[in-house]
Amino acid sequence: MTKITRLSIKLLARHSDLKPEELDEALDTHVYADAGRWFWLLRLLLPAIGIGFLACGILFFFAYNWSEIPKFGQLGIAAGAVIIPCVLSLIPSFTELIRKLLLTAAAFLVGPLFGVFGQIYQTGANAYDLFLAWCIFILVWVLAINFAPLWVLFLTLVNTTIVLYSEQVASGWSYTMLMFLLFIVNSVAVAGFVLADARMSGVDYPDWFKKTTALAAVAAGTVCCCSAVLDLDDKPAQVFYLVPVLALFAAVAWAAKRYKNLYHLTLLALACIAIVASIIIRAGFSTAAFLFAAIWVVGATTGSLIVLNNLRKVWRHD
Amino acid sequence: MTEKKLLEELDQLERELGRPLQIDQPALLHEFHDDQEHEGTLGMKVLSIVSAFIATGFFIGFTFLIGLNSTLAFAVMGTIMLGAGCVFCRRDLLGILGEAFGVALMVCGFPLFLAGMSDVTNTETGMALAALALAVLILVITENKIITFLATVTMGGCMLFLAHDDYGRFGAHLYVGFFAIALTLWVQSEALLLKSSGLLARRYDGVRTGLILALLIGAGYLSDFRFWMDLPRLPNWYASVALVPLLFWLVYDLLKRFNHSQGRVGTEMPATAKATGPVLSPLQRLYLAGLLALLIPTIFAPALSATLLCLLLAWKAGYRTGTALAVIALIYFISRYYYDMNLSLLTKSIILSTSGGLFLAAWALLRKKISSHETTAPGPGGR
Repeated sequence: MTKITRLSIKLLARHSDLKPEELDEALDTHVYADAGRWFWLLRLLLPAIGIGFLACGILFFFAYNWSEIPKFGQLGIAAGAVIIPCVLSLIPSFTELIRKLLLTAAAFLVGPLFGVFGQIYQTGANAYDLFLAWCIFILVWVLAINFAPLWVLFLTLVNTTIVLYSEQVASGWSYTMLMFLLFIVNSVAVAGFVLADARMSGVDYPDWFKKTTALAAVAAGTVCCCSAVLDLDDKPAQVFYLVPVLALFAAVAWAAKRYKNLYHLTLLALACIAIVASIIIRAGFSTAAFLFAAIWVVGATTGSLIVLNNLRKVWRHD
Repeated sequence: MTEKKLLEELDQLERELGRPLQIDQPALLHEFHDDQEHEGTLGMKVLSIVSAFIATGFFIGFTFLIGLNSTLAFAVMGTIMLGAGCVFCRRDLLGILGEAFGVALMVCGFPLFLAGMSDVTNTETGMALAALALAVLILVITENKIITFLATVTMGGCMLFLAHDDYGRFGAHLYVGFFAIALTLWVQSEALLLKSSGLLARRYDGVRTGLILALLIGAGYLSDFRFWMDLPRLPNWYASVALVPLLFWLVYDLLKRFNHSQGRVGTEMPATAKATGPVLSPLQRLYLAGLLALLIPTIFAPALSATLLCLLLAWKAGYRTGTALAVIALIYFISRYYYDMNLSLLTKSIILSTSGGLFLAAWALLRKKISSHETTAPGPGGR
C-alpha cells in the first residue's frame, strides 16, 4: 500500500466533505507511527537507556568506595571499565548497532582511565594533556568502526583539547585565533565526512551528523570573523583571518549551489548576515550604526529567503 | 510533490474510503500551489526567527542610544510595527518577501508595544497579562506558522510567569499540568481540529510546535529548582496528577489503535474483539503494566514524564522536530535528575543500576518481537 502524505490528507480535510472519523482513519493509516515504527523506537531507546544507566550506576558505585580501594584496584577497575564493553562488543549475537554502542561506551571510558592514572601517579599534567591523550588513543576505534555518535565524541574532545590548550599553555592566542583553529578543525572534519559519504562505498553518515558538524564549523567561522572585525583597533593583523574563512565560505556556497544543498546555503546566509552586521557596527560605532544594522539584518534575511525559496522550488523537481 | 502525485494520492484515499468525496478542487489546488510556492524548509524558518531577534536587538539598542524614553513613542512604534507585520504576513499579498518582513516587524513590535504600555501596566503582573493578551490577539489574527509558533511560546512564558508569581512552585506545576493536557488534546484530536474550523486548521502546525516547546520550558523550570527558584526541596508530584494518567491514556489509546488496524487487515484480532470492538491482549496489558512501573519513579520527577509525553506524542504524529526536541530534553532532564538527587553515591548507584537492568530486561523480553518488525520499520518517522 502506498503511503499518502500528510499534506494531501490535510488539503482534503479542508476542501472536501471528509468526515472527522474518516480523516482520523486516514491519518492513522498513512501518517501516524505504526507498530513497526514504535518498535524501531523501542529497539533504540531501551538498550541505549539501559546501558547508559547501568554504566553510570557502576561508576557511581566505585566513586562511593573510591578512597577505600587500593591504588592497583582503582587502576584495574578503570581499565576493566574499558575492556569489558570491548569484549562484549565481540559477541556476534548482538546487533551491529549494539556492538558499536558498546565500543562508543568503551571510548568514553578511556578518559576516566587516564584521569585515574594521572591521579594515582600525580603526573602533574594539564587537563589538555588528558584530553589530547584521550583523542589519540581512541583514534583507531573512531576510524575503524566509523560510527556517527563516536565521531561526535571524538570531535567534541578535539575541540575541548584546543580550547584547554589555548587557556593553559598558549598564552599569546587571541580569541579570534582560537575560533579560527576550531573553524579549521571542524571544516576539515565536515569536508572529510561529505567526501567519504560521496566517494567511499559502504559509508553512509546520517544527515543529522553532517548537519551538526557543518553547524559547528560555520558557527566557529562566523564568531571568528565577527571577533576579528570588532577587535580591529587593538589587533589589526587579525583581519587576515577573514580571508581564509570568507574564501572557504564562498567555496562552500559554490559547492552547495552546485550540489543543491539548501541547508548549507541557509547556514552561510545567516553567517554572512551576522558578519556584515558586525562590520556595520564596527564601521561607525554610533547610534545610526545600530539602526543600519537592524535594517541590514531584515533586508538581507528577506533577500536570502527569496533566493533560497527560488532555489528550493527549482531543485524540488530534480 | 507534484500536482499529478497529489491527485493520485487523493484518488487512492477516495478508493480506500469507498465513497466518492465532494472535493472543492480549484480551492484545494490553489492552496496546494500556494503551499509549494511559499512553504520554506525548517532551516529557512529558523533563519527567519534568528534574524528577527538579532534585528530586534539592534533596533532596541538604537532606541536606547538615541535616548528615547517616551512611552507614547514606543506604543506608537510598536502598534505600527505589529499592524504592518500582520499585513505583511499575509501570503496572498507579498508571499515569502512579506513573510520575512512581517516576522521581523512583529518580533520587534511586540516588546516595543509592551514598553509603551508600561505606564498603564506598571507592575510585572500587569505587563505579563498585557503580553499574554497581545499574544492571544496575534494568534487569532495571524495565520503565519512562525508567528503562531512564537505567539504560543510567548503565551506559555507569560502563563508560567503568572502562575509562579501567584502560586509559587505549585503554580509551575499547574502550568505543566495544563500544557500537558492542552498538548495531548491538540495532538490526539488532530482530525477534529482540522475539520472544526479554518481558523484552527490553519494554525494547527505552529501551535503544536509552540505547545511542545512551552511544555518543555515548564518541565525545565521544574527540573532545576535550585538555580531557577532558589527554593528548598518541596513535594514535587503535583504535575504528575495530570502527567501519569495522560501517559497511561495515550499508550492505552495507541494499543487500541493497533488492535483496530490489525482487525482491519484481518490478522491477530481476537474473535470477541471483532464483535465488541478492540480489546487489549494479555501481552498488551503487560505493556501497560510495564509503563506503569516506568512511570511510578517519575511521579516525583514531573520533568521526566512531561518530556516522555512530548516524545510519545511527537513520535506518534510522525513529527521529527518535536521528537528531536523531546530527545534532547529527555537526556538533559535525566542527567539533571540524578545530579540534583539529594542521596549518597551508593543509593544513586543502586537506583541507576537497577533501572538500567530493568530497561535491559525489557529490551531482552521485547527483542524477538522487535526483530520481527525490524524489516518493516522505516526509521524515525515523519513525512
